[in-house]
Order: sequence, then structure tokens, then C-alpha cells
Amino acid sequence: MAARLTLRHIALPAAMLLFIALASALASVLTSADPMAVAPAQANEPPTPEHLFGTDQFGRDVWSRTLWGGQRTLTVALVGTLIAIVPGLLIGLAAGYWGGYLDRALMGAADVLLAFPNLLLAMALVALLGYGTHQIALAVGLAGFPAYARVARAAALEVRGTPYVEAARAVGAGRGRIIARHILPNIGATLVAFGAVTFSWSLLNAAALNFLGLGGSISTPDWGIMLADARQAFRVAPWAGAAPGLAITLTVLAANALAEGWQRATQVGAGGRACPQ
Amino acid sequence: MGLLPIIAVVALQIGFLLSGTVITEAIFARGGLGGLLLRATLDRDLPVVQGVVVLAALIYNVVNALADALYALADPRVHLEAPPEAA
Repeated sequence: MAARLTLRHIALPAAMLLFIALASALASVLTSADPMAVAPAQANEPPTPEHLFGTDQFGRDVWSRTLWGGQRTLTVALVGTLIAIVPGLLIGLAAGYWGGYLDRALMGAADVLLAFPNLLLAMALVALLGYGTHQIALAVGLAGFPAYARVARAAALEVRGTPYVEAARAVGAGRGRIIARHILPNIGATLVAFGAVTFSWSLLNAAALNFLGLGGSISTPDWGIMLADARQAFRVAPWAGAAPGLAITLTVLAANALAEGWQRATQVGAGGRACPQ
Repeated sequence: MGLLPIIAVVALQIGFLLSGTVITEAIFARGGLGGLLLRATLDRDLPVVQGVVVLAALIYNVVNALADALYALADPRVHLEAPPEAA
């Protein structure tokens, strides 16, 4: 499966994601402006060579804030996605493959978590552990994991009933082998696609939680906080919201394109091209 | 891929839609469960908040249970019970 994953399918979105990640990581090199420095005299300035993306309502440099904000936003989204995907995948596969009581118990637990309002969960975490970025990542992950488990379970359930799994069982393949060699490769496309959705969703969810102030200081640069700030001055200074908005859009777009490229590359058929019907 | 993950996502989306109504109803000033929840929260009317949350949880569970039932309709090879030797 991995052998057929050729570079050309994922080169463009991967390069885009790498570019965004590198730009955020190298924020201290790419900009000298302090992302937190307030300059009321320069509020709502349009883009100039000095302020590439203009300034926001407090006179802060939008370019610098976008770069620095990427560090926090991308980290939270990535960690949140991992917290959602890893246990989600394991629990979903176990519930889908074993079925019966185990399935009912695991999915019941997932439903309990799902029925909890997302925001309430985040607030409870913050009340327990204090304000901070880690708590946001944990809240986002915990909110995303039951959904991922349900999708993984549905996919595993479907493949479990197919003749080739039945045949594998008939020739005496063990559970681990069936899951790893027969079920996982065949639901990989679904898992990757929903993983990309989970990532986008984590990004937006983290932005929303930061917007509400659950992530601690709201003057710290973060794409979600920037969008929330810029919303108030949208008619006067649209550039202040355009930069983080564009950054979020591009990141989500690239993540989805990467998942699609992966899907096409691993599809059954010659060299990653769609199978002729 | 097959239909089952799609059914799962649709069922999840129905649940998310429900929580989305809070914002939509607040912005467009429409009366409904979301608006009721928001008003009750702002008024600290706990029994009403509890009622709406329990109702939402109930809807979540019913929709997910329906999705489980739909799996078997969409693909008759699917069995929710454990296969005899995998249990």
C-alpha cells in the first residue's frame, strides 16, 4: 500500500502544509515586529511595506501575528487531532471487529462523551486543569474522538462482513492478522479522509475555544483569536481578518487535498489511477 | 468505500446540527430549543438547561441507534453481533 504512494499525488498539498508550518516555525526570522506590541496611533492601517498585512484595531502587526499565531494554532490542532484519532481508531476497530458486548460497551461510552456538549467539556477541563493551550488541545481531542471512533467502527463493521475476511478467517488467520492485513488497508481511505476532516474541525474548534478565552491570555497571537478580534473592525480594517482567515482556509484546504491525494494513490488500480469499471 | 461510514457521519452531523442551533437561533432571533437553552443559561435557569441537555443527549442516542439499524439495511452482510469465534 505504501509502495504505491507516489510523490506526485501528494507533492502540492504536502508542500503547501510544509510551507505554512515552516513559515510559522520560523516566525522569529521572518518578522522583526513584536506580535504583542500595541500601537494605538497606528491602528487599522492598510498594508504597507512596513506592515505587510496592515495592522489591527490595536495597531499590532497582522503579518507578525499571523506567523506567530500559526505556531500555537497548528500545534493545538495537530495535538488535538492525534488525541482524537489514535484512541478513536483503536476503539472503533475493536468495537467494529469484535462486536457484541464489547461493541455495546465501547459505543455506549462514546455516546456519553458525544452527548456532552463540547463547550461544557472544555469548560470542565479548564476548571480542573486551569487555562492553557494544552487544555484546549485535550478538549478538542476529547470532543473529536467519539466521532472518529464511530466512523472507524462503521468502516470496520462493513469490511468484517465481506467474503475475503470470512475466507481469511476460514483459512485460520488470527484476529491481529485479519485486522492489520485485511481490514485496515481496506478502510484506510475512509480513515485518512475522516482524519483530514477531524484536523480541519480541530483547527476551527480550537479557534472557537480560544475565542471564548478558555486558552488563557487572548492577546497571545492565535488565528482564532485574531479572527474574533478582526470581526469587530471588519468594515474599517478587513485585512486584519483576511490574513488569519486565509491561513486557516489554506491549511484546511491543503489537509483535505493531502488526504485526497493519499486516497487516490492507494486506490486499487494501476499506479494510483482510478480502477476502470 | 461503502455506505456505512457515510451513514455514521450523517448521524453525527444531525447531532452537531442540534448544537449548532444555539448560535443560529441567537443570530437570526428565531425561537427554538437553541434559543431556549441560551436564554435559560443566561438566566441561570438550571432545570430548563438540564432538560434541554437531556433531550439533546436523548436525540443523539436515538439517531446513533437508528444509524446502527440502517447499517444492516444498507449492507445485509453486516451483523452487529460478534462472529462466533471472534467473541
